[in-house]
Amino acid sequence: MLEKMDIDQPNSESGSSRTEIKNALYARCASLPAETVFSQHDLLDLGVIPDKDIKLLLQCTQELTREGLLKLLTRDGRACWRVVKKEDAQKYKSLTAEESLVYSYVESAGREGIWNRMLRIRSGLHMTVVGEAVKSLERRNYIKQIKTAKFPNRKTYMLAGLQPSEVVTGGPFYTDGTLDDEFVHQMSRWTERYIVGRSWAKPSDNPHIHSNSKKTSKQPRTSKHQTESERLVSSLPSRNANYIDLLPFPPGFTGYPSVSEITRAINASNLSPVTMKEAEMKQLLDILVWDGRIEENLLNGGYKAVKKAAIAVMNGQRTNEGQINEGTEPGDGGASALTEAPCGRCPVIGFCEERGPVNARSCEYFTDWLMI
Amino acid sequence: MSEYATQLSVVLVNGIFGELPSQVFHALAFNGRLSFSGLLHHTHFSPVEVRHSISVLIQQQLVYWYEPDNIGPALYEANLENSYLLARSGKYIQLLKDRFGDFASELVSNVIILGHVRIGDLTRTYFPSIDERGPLSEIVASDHLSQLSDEHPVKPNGDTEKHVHTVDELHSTISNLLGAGLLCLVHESYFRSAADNIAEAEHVVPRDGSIKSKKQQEATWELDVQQKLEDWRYGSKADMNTLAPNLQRTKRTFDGEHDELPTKKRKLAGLRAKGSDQIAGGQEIASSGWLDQDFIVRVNHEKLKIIMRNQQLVALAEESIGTATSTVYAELLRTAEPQLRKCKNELYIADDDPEIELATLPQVSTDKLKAIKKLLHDLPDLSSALGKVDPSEIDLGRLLHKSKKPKKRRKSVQSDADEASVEGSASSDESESENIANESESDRSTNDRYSNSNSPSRGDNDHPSEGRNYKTPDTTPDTTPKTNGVTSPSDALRQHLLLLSDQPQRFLIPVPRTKTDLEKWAVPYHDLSRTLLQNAIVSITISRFGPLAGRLIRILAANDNSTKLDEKMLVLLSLIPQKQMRTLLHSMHRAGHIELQEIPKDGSQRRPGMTLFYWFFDPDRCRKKMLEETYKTMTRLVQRARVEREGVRSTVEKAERTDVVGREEELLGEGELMALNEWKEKEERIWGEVGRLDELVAVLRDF
Ligand code: SF4
Repeated sequence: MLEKMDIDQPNSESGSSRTEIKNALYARCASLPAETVFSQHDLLDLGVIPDKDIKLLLQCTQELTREGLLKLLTRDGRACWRVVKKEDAQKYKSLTAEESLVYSYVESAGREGIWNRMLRIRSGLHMTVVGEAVKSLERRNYIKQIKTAKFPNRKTYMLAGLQPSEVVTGGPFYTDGTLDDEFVHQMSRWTERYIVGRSWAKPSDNPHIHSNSKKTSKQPRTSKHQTESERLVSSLPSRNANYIDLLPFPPGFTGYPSVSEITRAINASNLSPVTMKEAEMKQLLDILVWDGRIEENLLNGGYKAVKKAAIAVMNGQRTNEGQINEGTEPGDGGASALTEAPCGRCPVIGFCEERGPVNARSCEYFTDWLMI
Repeated sequence: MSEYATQLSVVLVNGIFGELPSQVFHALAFNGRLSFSGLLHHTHFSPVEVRHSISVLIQQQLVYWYEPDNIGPALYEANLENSYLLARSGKYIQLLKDRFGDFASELVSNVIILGHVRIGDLTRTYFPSIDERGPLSEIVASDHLSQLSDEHPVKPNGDTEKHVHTVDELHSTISNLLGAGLLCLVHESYFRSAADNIAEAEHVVPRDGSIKSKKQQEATWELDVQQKLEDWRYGSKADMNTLAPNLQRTKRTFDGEHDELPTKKRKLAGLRAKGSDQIAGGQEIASSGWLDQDFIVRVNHEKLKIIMRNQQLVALAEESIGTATSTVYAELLRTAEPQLRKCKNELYIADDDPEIELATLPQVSTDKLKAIKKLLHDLPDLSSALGKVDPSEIDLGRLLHKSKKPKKRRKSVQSDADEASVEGSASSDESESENIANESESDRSTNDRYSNSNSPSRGDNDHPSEGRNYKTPDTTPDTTPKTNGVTSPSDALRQHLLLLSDQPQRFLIPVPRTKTDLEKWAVPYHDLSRTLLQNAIVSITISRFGPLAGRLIRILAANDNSTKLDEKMLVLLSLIPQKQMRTLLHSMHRAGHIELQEIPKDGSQRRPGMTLFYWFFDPDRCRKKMLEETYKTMTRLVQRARVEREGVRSTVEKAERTDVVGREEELLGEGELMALNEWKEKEERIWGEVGRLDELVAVLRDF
C-alpha cells in the first residue's frame, strides 16, 4: 500500500512543474538519515523522478546544488550527492566564497575538528584570508574553536553544533581538552579500593589465626638465627601501632580482579555518568601500578593491591584531600636513607667542600637535623 | 673510583687510624701509585713516619703494594674498596654475633682490628702459653703484622676468656667461619691491585703445549689464569688440605645441588668446574684437629655483601607478602648462601634457553628446607598465615607450568605428579626426610590439591593418560571442600615457596621435580638485585620530588629503559597535567634522575620550536649519580661527627679516664654529663645514618 502511494504520488502530479519535483526530491532525500550519500541510481530509485528520467534528474540536482541544498561529491570517479540541511544552505548563501570554502573544510572534518594550519594548506588560501574567514564564521557562531587533548596548543575548529569526538577530547579523563585531575583521582581511588577489597584476607577470616600468631611472636627470641631476621623485621613500618595484619591468598589464586571485571564494576557503581571502556580502565590501572599501589599478578593478569598501600587504605589514611596526603603515604615508598640525611636534600651540596665557605663544620642544615 | 668515594675513604681512614696514616693514604688516593720516595715527597713526613703509616695501612689491606719482579722499588697504591669497607665493620661484627654468638664475633672483631692475622698469632693472643707446631713462615707482610700487633696488643677481655675453654674450641670456631666463608685465607696477591694480579697470574700460569689448536690453547690458558686468580683470592683446595689435614669433607652444596644437571648445562664451559675447587664457595669444614698455624686469615666482605642482599630481599618479601613467608624465604636464602661466592654472580647467563639460565642460578630443594628445624617448628604458624579461598579459585598448574620451562621438561613434570598421585605414599619415602612426621600423608594431600581443583578424582586409579591436563575442569570434587590451600602442616612450607614464586617480584622460580631430580627453587638474584636497585632509585625520587615523580620514573623505567618518550606521550600515559609534568621532568633531569635527548628537526639550526625532546631513564647513569651523592653525604656525616667530637673532646677524654669510668655521676659536673649525653645521641644519630647509607651503597654498587 505504502509502496503504491509512493509510486502513485509523483504520477498523480505528473503535470506539476520541475520545481515541485525538485522540492519533492529534496524532501525525500532529507527524510533519510543525514550523511547518506546518493548515487544517480539511488536517486532514481527513490521514485520521485517520473519515469526515471535521467535528464530531469540532472536538472533537479543541478538546481539543488546551486541552491546549496545538495552537495556534489565524487565517489569512485562517479558523481553523487549529499543532502545539505536548509539552515546550512542558508549559511552558505550568506558566506563569501572564501568563507564557504573554509566552512566546507571545517564541516568535512566532522567531530575530529581541523587544525588551523591544515585549513590553510587544504584551502590553498592565504593565512590572513583564512584567519578572517575563521573569525567571521566564529562570530556568526557557525564554527567554534576546540581544544584537543593531544595538541592543546593547536588551534582546532569544528562546526558549532558538534560535540568533539573522544579522540579529540582524550577520552573520559579530559574536560574541554584539559586533563581532569579530580576525575582521574576519584576514579583511581575507587578502583584502588575495589582492588584492595579483593587482594588480601583479613585474619578474622581465619578464625584460629589469633592464638597461633601470638605464639609466633614469642618464639623468635629463642634461637640465634632469629635475632638477625627479627631486627630486620622490627625496622619495618608494618610494626607500627596501627598495623593491620593482612594475610596473602594462597599461591595460584585466580580471584584477583581482571581489567574487564574492574571495568564492569566501576560502570555499575554509578560513580560517574561516564561509561569507562576497558582500554581506559587499563590506563587507570597502569597508573596505579606506576604509583606502586597495585601490582599485576603474573599468572592471570589480575590486579592485586600492594600490601603497604592496602593497609593504608584500610587505615583510612587516604582522606579526601588525597593530593596533600599522597606524598607521605607508605604506598609511595618515599623514605630513603639518602634523603633522610641533610645532605641528601641539600640545595647547596654542589658547593659544599671541606675547606670551602659551605662545609659540614658550620652547616646549619646539619645543626637542625641533629636537634630533631 | 670517584672523587667522593676517595674523599670518603680518606675520612674513614682518618677517623680510625688517625692523622698520619690518613695523610699518607690521602697522598696515595689522590696521586695514584707511588714509590716510597714519591710518598716522602708528597707528604713531607719523615721516612720513619711514612714507613710506620704504610705498614699500618698494608696490615689493614688499605694499601696495595707490589714489587715488580723483585727488582726496583716497591710501589704503593690506595685500596679504595677496602677502605670503604671500614664503614661496614660494625655490620660484620653484628652479623657474627647474631649467627655464631659472642665468642665468634669477638674473634672476628680482633681479625678486623688486625686486618689480617696468622692463625698461630691469633691462637697465642688467647692462649699465650701455647706452643706452635711448625716454624713461623716468612709469608708476606708478616713483619708488618708483628709490628702492628705489638702496638695494638689484642687482649681478649675477661668475659670472653671465660667462654673459651680450649684451643680446640677456638680452632673449630675459626674453621666454622672459614666454612661459612666469613673468614678466608690470605694470599700475597691480596696485597696487590687487581691489575697487578692479572699480570702476575698471566706470568706464572704456563701455557699447555700439548694442546695443538692455538685457539683452544689460548682458551684453556685463560681459564687457568682465571682459576689462579680465584685460588689466590679465596684459597685453593691444596691450601685447604694443608690448613686442616683432618678435615672431614662434607659434600659441597655447590656441587651437590648441581650434580644432576643435564649435559647441556655442564657445557656451560669449565665455568662451573672452575668453581668447584675453591673452598670459600662454602664447604662445610668439620675439622677434628688444629688448623695449620701458618695460614693467615682475614674477613671476607664479599660474603657480607651476599648476606646483606639476602637481608634486604627478606625485608622486601616481608613487606610485600608477610612475616611467615619471609621467614621461609630467609631460610631458603641462607641455605643457598654457600652456592654464591660473590654478589655479582659470575656464572649467571641471561639466556634465551631458560634451562641454561636456571642452571646458573643457585637452587635449593624443598626437601632440604623441610629438614630445617626452625621451619619445622614454625609449620603451624605457616599454615595459618595464608588466607582461605574457594578451592575452585586456585590454579597451581599454571604457576608451575608457566615457569618458562621448555616443553620436554614440562611434560615429564606433569606425568611425575600424576604418577605420584596414583602411587600415593609410595612416592614419598624415596625422597622426603624422615624428620617429618606424616610425610606420606602430606604428600598425598599435596596431590589432592592438584586433583581437587584440576583433574578428576583421586580415587580414579587408571593410569594417567597423556591427555590429562591440569586445566581439565573439575567435574567430581570428591573430597571435602578445602578453604585454605594448606591441608597438612608440612604442606604449608611448600605453599609459601609457591607464593614467593607467584609474586610480581618473582622471589623464586620453581624448578619442578623430574624423574631424576628433586623439586627445587631457584633464586633469580640477578633480576632481584635489579628490583632492589630500582626500588631504591624510585624511593629517592619520590622523597625528593613527590609521588608523581615516582610515577614518571616508573613509566620511563618500565620498558627496559630503551624507550624514549616525548612530553605528549608522557602526558597521555601519566595523566599528569602538562605544566606540572614539565616542571617535574626538568627538576628530575637537573638532579640527574632522568635524561633528556634533543633531536633537532631543522638540522643544525636547532631552533627550540623545531626540536623534539625525548625523556628517558638510564639506570646506570642514575645509579652512579645517586652513589656519588651517597658517598658525599656519608663523607659529610663522618666529618660532622668529628666536629661534634671536637666540641666535647675534653669532657669525653675525662669521661674515658680509668678513674672516672663507672663513676661518671660522681666525678662529672652536671653540665659535663649533659654535654656528654647530647653528644652521644648525636653520635648515634650520625653513625646510624651512615649505616643506613651504607645499605644504600650496597644496593647501588655491590648487589
Ligand atoms: S654538609 Fe650541609 S651544606 Fe654540606 S651538603 Fe650537607 S647539608 Fe649541604
